[in-house]
Amino acid sequence: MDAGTDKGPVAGGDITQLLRQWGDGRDEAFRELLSLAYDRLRLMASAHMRSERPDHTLQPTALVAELYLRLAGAKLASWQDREHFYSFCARAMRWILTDHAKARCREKRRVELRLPLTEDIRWLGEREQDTFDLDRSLSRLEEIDPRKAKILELRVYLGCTATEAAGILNLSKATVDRDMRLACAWLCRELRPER
Amino acid sequence: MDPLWQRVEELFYSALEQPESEREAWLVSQTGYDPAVREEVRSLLAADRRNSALGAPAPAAERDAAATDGPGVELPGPGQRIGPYLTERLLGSGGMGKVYLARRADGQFDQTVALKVMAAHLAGEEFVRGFRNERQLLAALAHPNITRLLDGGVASSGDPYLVMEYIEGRPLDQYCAQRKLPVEARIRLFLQICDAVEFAHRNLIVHGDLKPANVLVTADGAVKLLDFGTAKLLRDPDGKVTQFALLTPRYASPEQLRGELVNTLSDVFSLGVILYEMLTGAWPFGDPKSTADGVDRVLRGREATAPAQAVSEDAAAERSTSRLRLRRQIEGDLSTIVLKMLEGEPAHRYGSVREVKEDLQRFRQGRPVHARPHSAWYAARKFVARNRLAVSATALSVVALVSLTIVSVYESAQARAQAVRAERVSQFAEYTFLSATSFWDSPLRGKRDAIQFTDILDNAAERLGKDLRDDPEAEAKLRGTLGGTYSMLGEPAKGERQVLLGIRTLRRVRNASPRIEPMLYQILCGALNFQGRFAEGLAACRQSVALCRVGDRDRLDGAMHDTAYMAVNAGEPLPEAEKMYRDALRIPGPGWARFISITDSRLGMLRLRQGDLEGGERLLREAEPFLRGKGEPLIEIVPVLYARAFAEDVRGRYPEAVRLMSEALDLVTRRRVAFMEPDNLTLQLAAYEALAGNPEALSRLRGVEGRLTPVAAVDRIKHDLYAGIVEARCGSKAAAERHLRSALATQEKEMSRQPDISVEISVRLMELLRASGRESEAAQAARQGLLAAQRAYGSYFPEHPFVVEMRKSLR
Repeated sequence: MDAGTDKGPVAGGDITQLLRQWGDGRDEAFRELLSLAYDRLRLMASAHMRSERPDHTLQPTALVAELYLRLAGAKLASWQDREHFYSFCARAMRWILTDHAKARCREKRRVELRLPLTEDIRWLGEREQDTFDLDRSLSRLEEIDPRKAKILELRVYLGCTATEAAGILNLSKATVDRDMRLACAWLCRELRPER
Repeated sequence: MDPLWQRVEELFYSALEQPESEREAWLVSQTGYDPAVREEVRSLLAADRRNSALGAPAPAAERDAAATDGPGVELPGPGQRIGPYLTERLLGSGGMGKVYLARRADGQFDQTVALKVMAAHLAGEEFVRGFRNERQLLAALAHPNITRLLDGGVASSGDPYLVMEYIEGRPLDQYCAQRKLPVEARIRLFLQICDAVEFAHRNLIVHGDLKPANVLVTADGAVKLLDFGTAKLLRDPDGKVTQFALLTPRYASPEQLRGELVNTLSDVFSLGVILYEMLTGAWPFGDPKSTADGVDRVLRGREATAPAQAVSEDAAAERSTSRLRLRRQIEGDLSTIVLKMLEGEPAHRYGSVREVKEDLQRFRQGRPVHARPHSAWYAARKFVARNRLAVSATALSVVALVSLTIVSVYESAQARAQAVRAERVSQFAEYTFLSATSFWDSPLRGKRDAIQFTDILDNAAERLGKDLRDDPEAEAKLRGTLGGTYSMLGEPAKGERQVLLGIRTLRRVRNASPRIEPMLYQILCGALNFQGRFAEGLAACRQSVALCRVGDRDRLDGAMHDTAYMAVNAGEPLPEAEKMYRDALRIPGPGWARFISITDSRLGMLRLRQGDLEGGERLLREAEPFLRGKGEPLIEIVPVLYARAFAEDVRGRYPEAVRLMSEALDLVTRRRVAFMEPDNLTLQLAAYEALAGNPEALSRLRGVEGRLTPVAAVDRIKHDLYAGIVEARCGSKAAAERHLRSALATQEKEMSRQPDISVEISVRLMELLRASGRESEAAQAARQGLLAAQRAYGSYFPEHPFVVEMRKSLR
């Protein structure tokens, strides 16, 4: 449906094309996007890594918008592009943070991460294991209910508010709240099983 | 999205809209017998509670007193100060908190105590409030076999704690196992437990969570009961009992599992499980590792495994005896006592722990016990087994689904906790059952066979209008229950009358729950089905579907399934019935896996009958594994078996058909299902035996022939067809021809819209005529059969064995 999908890697910073390809399921596009945005994203991620609470000082959604402007040099064309970009950033954060935690573990150092950025799941991130488990559980949730996984990813890794997530995904806030409730319960069951 | 997940999601959100105390019961009423979905939703709801508890700040009141710990903090470790106590070491931890060994830090008393800290953020406010109310009363519970509650308070973390007498002892099960206690010693221990529980009951306290882990035994063999901390008062000032999702399913009574009120009889049940395990070393409801299956069994009201059967070699060794001896010790009175404690219906259990104790003492003294192996209900079941109505062997799913409906409606009635009504309903039910038990104590006792369970129902039916005069809605509902029960007991005409009365009563109610009327029509259709009045039954089914569409979408799938089933019996065209089954499958409903399998098996039969042998067998193969299950198969496997037998018959593989029919017959005979008539299956088996060349088929036919007086057209046709086949091969050819021609006539006259029936009859008639050398008449029969096949199968299945055989004979 998108002409770009057949063309393979896109030269230059044609981020919109790449985003569309990623949205259409071409996984390599993720790596290419990541290489474009890595420095900025890593900077954002470092706020998590130093155990700071970036939600008060930084506004991730604003940062992501700014990042896009720098990369694409254009306004976000359509809401799909916007959705793809925010989703990509959330995925990238997830990737960077999980990767970081893995590296720390290999070096036998304590994983100091501040997760999540959302108030809905305050217990998340209290255990060292949480970063890995979160990544794994999200992958499982993606299989059975991709929309909830996407919302959770946006809220946890990018610190989007419910309203922002609703705006990005073109859903009503009520739907996001509703989805969040079940998604949080799911996560709690996976990461904090009874007994 | 996965339809199962979609259903889980719907239930999750709807459950959140129910009041917390009613959620569990509501959930059970919605998921029926689909334990997988129920478990999934239940665990998500629990996680939802944990999630908000872990994230939420501590309740305001506690926070004032607290040295403000953040939310979600771990419970204090050893060496902590909790109130005036200093913890020394962790004794254990459970789902709700931790238990420490502790002593007073202020040196006021030098006493070692057990200090139990409840995780308030896990328990929720409701729990904390209940805990405070009850603490006072529990403190007064002074009994040598109950650990004393000494003190209690709220820790600086905001978590409430209990201080109890510290007991050096071992949990009951470990104590018994380690000392290899013989049965007699175990009974003595158990009597001590009974003492304690009885004492609590007299103080209006139910334990509600009795299990071996809550029973400690000291080195000198004294029993100490723990954990009355989670016990509930029998009387709550608001009359409302809050349910905590704390109970251990392994020891919980069916009513607890359904989320109903807990009472002293629930404790009797839990004690029953404990005693059963003490005696046999096994769990009464199967493999304790798959508690979900067992819990399902408990919920379905299935009986416990006979204790003597459950004994293993190892268990015997652990009781310092041999397996044979242990079995002999347990068999008889001891078994009777345990099983009476484990009755699914509370009214059938011992009325109190005291009665249990007294019976056990009688047993020890070798005197006759009061418990009788034949409870009223047991006798009723036996009665049913003896008085089976001659119903179509296929008449199966309707009742299965209807009975499911009855249970669910009954449950949801209680779940909705419209207090007065629920109470009245249960009073009524109790009265009915109580009168049933008093029946046994009446002078009529001894004339056991004279007593019929239906008498008890008659009695109830008569009282119903009076007792519930000012609550017509409850009356209507109960009339439905009663009607369904009558039908199951083989009194469908009485059942029909009750349902009709129920429908009439319901008309008087304004704003009745929209779920009742479709249920009544569904039960009506079951009652008509048993009387062979399929056309009327079909009308009732259609009414029920229409009502379900607006009032109770959860039962829509069941209603459509019943309609399709009834349409087949009533002689409606098969493709229409097939479409209805397929539509029913599209609606996810309660008990889905089971429902899909049953419906698949029906669809399979319909495909077979429309000439599609491969498609039909594929559906049957898909349905089979679930219905067969792991251990004992569900009774719904029977239609799969005879459908497969039919397919083998068509393919001419008669020995295989015989094997499948024998299995079906064996199951029905062994399980004594009230609504399945073994005689019809016997007839079909005899036909396949005859085709397989077994001359004994004739005596089998003679054995049942006289008993059968089929009413419905479909049953008359089958009767004639199978009898015709047997006569043709092993009996009188004239009788065979008479039967087959009569079958054809009935088909043409009353079931003309299901031409497939006459295909098989024609084939058999053709064979018979050729064997007698009447070639032209045989050709006539073949032509008639081919015409019917054309109508029944279309031109889709030219390779159909019947078609091939008839073509060949015409050449």
